[in-house]
Amino acid sequence: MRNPDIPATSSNVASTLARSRLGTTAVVIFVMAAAAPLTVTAGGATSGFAITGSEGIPVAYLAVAIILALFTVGYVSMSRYLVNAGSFYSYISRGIGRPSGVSAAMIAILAYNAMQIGLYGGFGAVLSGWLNDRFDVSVAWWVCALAGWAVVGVLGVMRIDLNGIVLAVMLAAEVAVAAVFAIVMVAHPVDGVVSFSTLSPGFLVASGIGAALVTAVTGFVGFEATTVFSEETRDPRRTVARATYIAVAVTGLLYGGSAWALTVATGPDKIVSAAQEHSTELIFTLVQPHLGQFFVDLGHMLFVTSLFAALLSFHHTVGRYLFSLGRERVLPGVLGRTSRRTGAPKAGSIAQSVLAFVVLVGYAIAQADPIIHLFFWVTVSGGLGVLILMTLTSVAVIGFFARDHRGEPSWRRIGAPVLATAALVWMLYLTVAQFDVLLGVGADSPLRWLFPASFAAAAALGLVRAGLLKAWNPDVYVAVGMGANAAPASPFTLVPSLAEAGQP
Amino acid sequence: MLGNDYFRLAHNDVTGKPRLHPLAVDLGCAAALLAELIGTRRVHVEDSAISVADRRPPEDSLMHVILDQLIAEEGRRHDIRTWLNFLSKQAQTQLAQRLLRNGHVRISPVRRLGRQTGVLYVPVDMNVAAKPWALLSQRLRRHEPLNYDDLALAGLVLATGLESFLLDGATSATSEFLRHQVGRLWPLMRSLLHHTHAAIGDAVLAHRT
Repeated sequence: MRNPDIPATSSNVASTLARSRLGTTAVVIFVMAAAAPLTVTAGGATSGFAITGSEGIPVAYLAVAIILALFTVGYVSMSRYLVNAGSFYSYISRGIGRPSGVSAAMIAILAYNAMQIGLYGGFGAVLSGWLNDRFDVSVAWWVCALAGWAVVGVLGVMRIDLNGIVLAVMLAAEVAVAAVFAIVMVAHPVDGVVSFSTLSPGFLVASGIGAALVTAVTGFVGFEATTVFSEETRDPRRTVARATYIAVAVTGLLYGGSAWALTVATGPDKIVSAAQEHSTELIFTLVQPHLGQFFVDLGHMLFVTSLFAALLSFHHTVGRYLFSLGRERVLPGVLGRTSRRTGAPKAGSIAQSVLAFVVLVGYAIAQADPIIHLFFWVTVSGGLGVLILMTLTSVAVIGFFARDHRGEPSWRRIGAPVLATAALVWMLYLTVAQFDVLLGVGADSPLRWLFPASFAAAAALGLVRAGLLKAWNPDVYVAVGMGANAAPASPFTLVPSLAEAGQP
Repeated sequence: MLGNDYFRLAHNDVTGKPRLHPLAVDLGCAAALLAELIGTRRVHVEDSAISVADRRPPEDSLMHVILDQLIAEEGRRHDIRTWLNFLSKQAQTQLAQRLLRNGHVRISPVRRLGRQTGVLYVPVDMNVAAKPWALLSQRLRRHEPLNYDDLALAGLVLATGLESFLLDGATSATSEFLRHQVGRLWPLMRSLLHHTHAAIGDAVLAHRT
């Protein structure tokens, strides 16, 4: 919006607007708090070890951080030229084509819903386990999950986000606790020797690494939200890029380091069996003898609040996608409505809550395991969806800048995006090929195809929808990816006869 | 005046509390200020560019202030979205102060936990305050043809999402009528309203606390 060639200080308008703009730190905090570090270090990493049986999880986190940093180069460069830069499908629509854009939108809705709903499994199981251990209160996991669901549902419709300062304090506490836990675990290695074997790059070519890689990708989901704030940052060219790199680097080091510390404390050869035995309690079990009950309780509380912050954040993400697709009329226009008093994308928020409720009740009736079958299976499937979106976005960046260089250096338009695309395609291939390992089911189980196939079905649905729009609603089709700026969103673009009648 | 009417519509006629979420009120009031200048043919809007058409000082002091700001930064060619964002920081207070100067509202403190956290502008006469809503709502429900002032107000209502209040309980034919009527506005106003609507939509997407 702001013309960057004009100095900000000499203009009343520019300096007034600059006062409310965000700096790098603020953007990093918003994004990292949503990614909820403890959710990954205590929940994602341990479940990853237990279910995939791979020791290579630590190096997978580091490798994924590097690949995502490469992806960020092109992603952030392209975000400056988009009007709806917060959503992957906008990039894909502009860079590859509108049919792929609509497909990507459907994949995104499925993927972010999966991330959100899967987290309820973790939230319910961890909260009910903790209540049972510490207070001797026996509550089924799904009761806890539904309690969380009710709070998220209400906060979603009322448009209450956790306050920025609360988020920042929680984030700082989470990072501190995760770091302290990691240091304690490294300081007390199992046989007195600190082993670096799980950080060996050799794991990246070993069999079964696909499962570890997508587990790692799942942990990073949320970092892409920096671009949502691109119009509100002090220096759109630099702030978003810097914030994204910082977020990826900090989370990468934290996750990789923390997962490695787990393997040091148990011994690299015993990490899988230890994770299978203790599940999400592993990290707390390992540090308890050295830190005492206070830190363990603090860690548990932060684990629960961190899961909750992630739940709320992904709920808002789904609401945002549904709102912007409703405004574009790609999905029914009712999803584009907002609540008058709160400005919440009401219909989208309610739709997400209803879907989550149905899934939770389904899991409760089926008596499925909340950690394995809901938290891990469903969130890593969401991670797979986001991986598909990132791969397509990376291709879109190449396509977008191939048509017009826009004065970007070749590293940003070709070099980094090509490398990122190659790496993402490689990860995607490994993930789909090894999905049975990821789920921990037999190689002939239909489940290994069911989860990836659901994304293929969503993509196919998107293609059909795009075809229908092109034939029946060309003005909607043309505006795909424009979000709230799409012309069909606005009641003011209609020009019926006697258009000039309403003059003063 | 359009700004006064919009302000009254967007706030409760008895308590003075906003009927919309804060971002929409701010952007709506900003749009109302620009709409007044457009209606008096002081400024011109084309696509997303805004230009000053008539530099003579307006009689109303608020319009004078806004026009001065537009003239001072004419050379920078800020687009309409930038102006909306800029004016939205002050617009609600500015409109309230104008009503206050003319004796239409009085200031009442908002207290939370014993501390004053803000002020409300409470209408002095609720009949005057409710009039824009009552007239516009009635005309729309009777499907009467609207004059320019009514249309501009209806446009602001639709752009900021107040229509669910204005047409509460009305049939879908009435909201269809509203949309159709607003589509007849002259292109300058439609352009302003389109950007107002999109700016509020973008604010919903980039929401943060």
